[in-house]
Amino acid sequence: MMGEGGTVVHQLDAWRLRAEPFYQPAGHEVEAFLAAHAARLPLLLKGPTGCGKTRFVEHMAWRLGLPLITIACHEDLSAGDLAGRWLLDAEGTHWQDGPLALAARYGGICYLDELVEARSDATVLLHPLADTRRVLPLERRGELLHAHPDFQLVVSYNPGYQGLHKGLKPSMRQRFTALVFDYPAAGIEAAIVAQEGGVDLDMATRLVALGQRTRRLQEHGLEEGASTRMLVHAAVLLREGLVPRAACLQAIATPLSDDADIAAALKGVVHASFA
Amino acid sequence: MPVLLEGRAATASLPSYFRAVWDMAPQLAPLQPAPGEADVPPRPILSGHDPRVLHLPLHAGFAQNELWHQAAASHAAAHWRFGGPSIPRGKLKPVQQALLGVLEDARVEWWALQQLPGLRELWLSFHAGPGAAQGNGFDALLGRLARTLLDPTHADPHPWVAKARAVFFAADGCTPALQTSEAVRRAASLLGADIGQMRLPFNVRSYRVHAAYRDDNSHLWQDDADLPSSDTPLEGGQGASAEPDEAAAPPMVLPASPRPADAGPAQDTETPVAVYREWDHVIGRYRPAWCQVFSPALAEGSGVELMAAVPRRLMRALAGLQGAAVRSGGRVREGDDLHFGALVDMRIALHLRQPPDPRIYRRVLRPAPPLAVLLLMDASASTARRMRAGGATLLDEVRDAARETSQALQALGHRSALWAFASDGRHRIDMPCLKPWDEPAHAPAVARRMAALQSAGSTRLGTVLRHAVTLAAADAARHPGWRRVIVLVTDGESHDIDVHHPAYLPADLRRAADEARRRGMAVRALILPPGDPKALAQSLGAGNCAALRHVAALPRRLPALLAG
Repeated sequence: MMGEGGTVVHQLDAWRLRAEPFYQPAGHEVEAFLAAHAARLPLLLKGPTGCGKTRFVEHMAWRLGLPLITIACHEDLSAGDLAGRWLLDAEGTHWQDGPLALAARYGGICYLDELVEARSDATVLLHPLADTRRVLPLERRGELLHAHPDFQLVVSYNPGYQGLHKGLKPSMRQRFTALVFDYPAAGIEAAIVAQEGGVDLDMATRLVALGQRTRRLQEHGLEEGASTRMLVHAAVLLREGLVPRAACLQAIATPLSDDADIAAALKGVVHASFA
Repeated sequence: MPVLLEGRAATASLPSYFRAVWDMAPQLAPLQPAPGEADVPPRPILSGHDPRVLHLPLHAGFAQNELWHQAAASHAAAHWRFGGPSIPRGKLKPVQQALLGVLEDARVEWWALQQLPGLRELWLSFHAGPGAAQGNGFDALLGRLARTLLDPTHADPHPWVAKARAVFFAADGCTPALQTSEAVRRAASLLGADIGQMRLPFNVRSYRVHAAYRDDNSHLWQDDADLPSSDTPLEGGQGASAEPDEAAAPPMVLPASPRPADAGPAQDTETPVAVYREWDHVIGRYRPAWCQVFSPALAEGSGVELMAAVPRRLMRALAGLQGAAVRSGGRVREGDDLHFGALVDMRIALHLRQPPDPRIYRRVLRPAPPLAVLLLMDASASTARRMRAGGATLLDEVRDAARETSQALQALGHRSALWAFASDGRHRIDMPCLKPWDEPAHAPAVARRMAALQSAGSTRLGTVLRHAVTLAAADAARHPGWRRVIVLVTDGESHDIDVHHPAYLPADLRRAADEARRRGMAVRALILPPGDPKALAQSLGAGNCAALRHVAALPRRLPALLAG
């Protein structure tokens, strides 16, 4: 994927992945991403936290040989944080591209994590980039930046815990193609936990069973049950020498809830699951 | 009286425990001692099929803790998951029936342990240790057998226990040979005959399963027409199929639970505008379709009260809450736009070879989104009280506070609406609308409705809040993007005529506030004297409640409350 100029692509070398990120497909999401990328259609990933959205994007970036610029959106994220701003140095002012402008200028995947958290003045910047125009107006610099052919826009959000005031506007939604993510099937999830956490498959299977038990409390006191990421954390603590109950309390039961009743139930679940 | 652990009911975590560990949602019911049995150690009882019911002894003097509850819950669930249908007693003698119970307990627990090995430690703590069964009577032998079957590492020296263990387990000593109910029944007959030969006495009236978490196993047996009926009436019947419609049949009847005062409330001809569930902290679950909300039209008072002038002080105090993005003259280290004055200063500093001021960006004050405030006015009977002899009533104060707030918000470009509330038991919660969202706060109709409001009834804040969330959500669907705040203007804490447990309504309010937060709405309270903000703060959070000694204090109290 070396574009027109090797020197240009070089600009984003720091954002290239050094090694292949492990990713276990749970369905046809790899083919779906490749198809969207071939047509340069923007992609929206929906799913609960810790189910593998970010890892999937990293894996695809590595597979396509593209740099990946990830931006974690938050409520103070402004247009300037995305597009860029003027800075001052000894010579005077100079323009510093923001991460979105960098990806658009030099070609790469720009991944905006939890897009709905961003302020509306930031998200509206994406509109001309996400449709057929593929341009980013840099108002402060007086530049209309045409996106590099390798530029690909990927955003994610978790529909589960957004309040009434949050949500994507139709004008944003309808520019994207979308994939739904969920926790993988038990067998696949156990393989992931074993691989990522460095525990044997039997222990990974028992951790996944515990994870599924906590997910039954979703909508019954928990906003979300234990994510795959949490199960991997438990496995890592096990590998570091903690006993299973201690590892699961630390990595799963205690972080999940502050509610005294739910916490007591979760502790009971951990104790029942491991001798 | 339910037993409280650190301020919460010991059973409160059980519904979550059942759901997470067993994917079951059985009903929980308190078990009162049968007459004359108050001093006998009680045991849980299982009943019903759909829904299943776990009856837990809750009477005083019987030590309970979370471990006991979880042990009992998992044992009951093991019966439901791995047990067979109930069987006829047939010719089995009481000794053999008791023995069958111990073997069946061990069998279902063994299956449970295959998926949940951690349960062994939990259960074993009720078999071993200082409370372990000792002696050679039949009751003690059953206790010793139960422990031996649960703990494969434990070797009991008694030859009958050793024989029973050999019958229970296959040759490998760890998988049960008794796979079916029929095999268990045959083994019970065989081993029971040995007890007969040992001439050990057995008193079926005083017998209790040794481990306190285990149920009395009455659910193993089909109803026997020859036996006298049980002293303890059970919900769901013995194996009877109960009404599956939760809404029609309240899931539990607790001593402390609110009961309808009579069969039909007087206002039956009116239809409620909404029916809400209510959280019962004692059973740790919602009572579905429990509280009815009515929205009566207020008979508008004839004497039109003159509206007071626009509250300028309050407006000024609230003005900081929003506004267009303001570019102030301030200089900051980070920002989007350069501050030109700062650039000139920096250039000069560089020429003078002085360290430049790094604050070269313009400070931009971001406006908070505008507010949509739903004000809820307490119109319960206690607001008829006068603050001072001959002075204004509390309701007048509530009215003034709500009206001033509403007018000031409107003048600043925020949205607001006004509803009042008062309840008369769970069947009748009145919430008349004083000012819909789109009506101007100074409209004469609003003043007339305000004037018509009378003090009556009680305060059931959880349901009031749920209805307020519904009202605000309906407005949010039409007007998205506003920051939603619900403000309770009240003189005190929740109470209602059909609630006797002091912690019941506060626990429901806390739950309702959580529900509101999850939907992105802030809940605040202004508390007029003699109310204590600390009491409401336990439900709503300390920063969300403010005491308001007098309406004149609104400009000091309200901005912080709405901004937070």
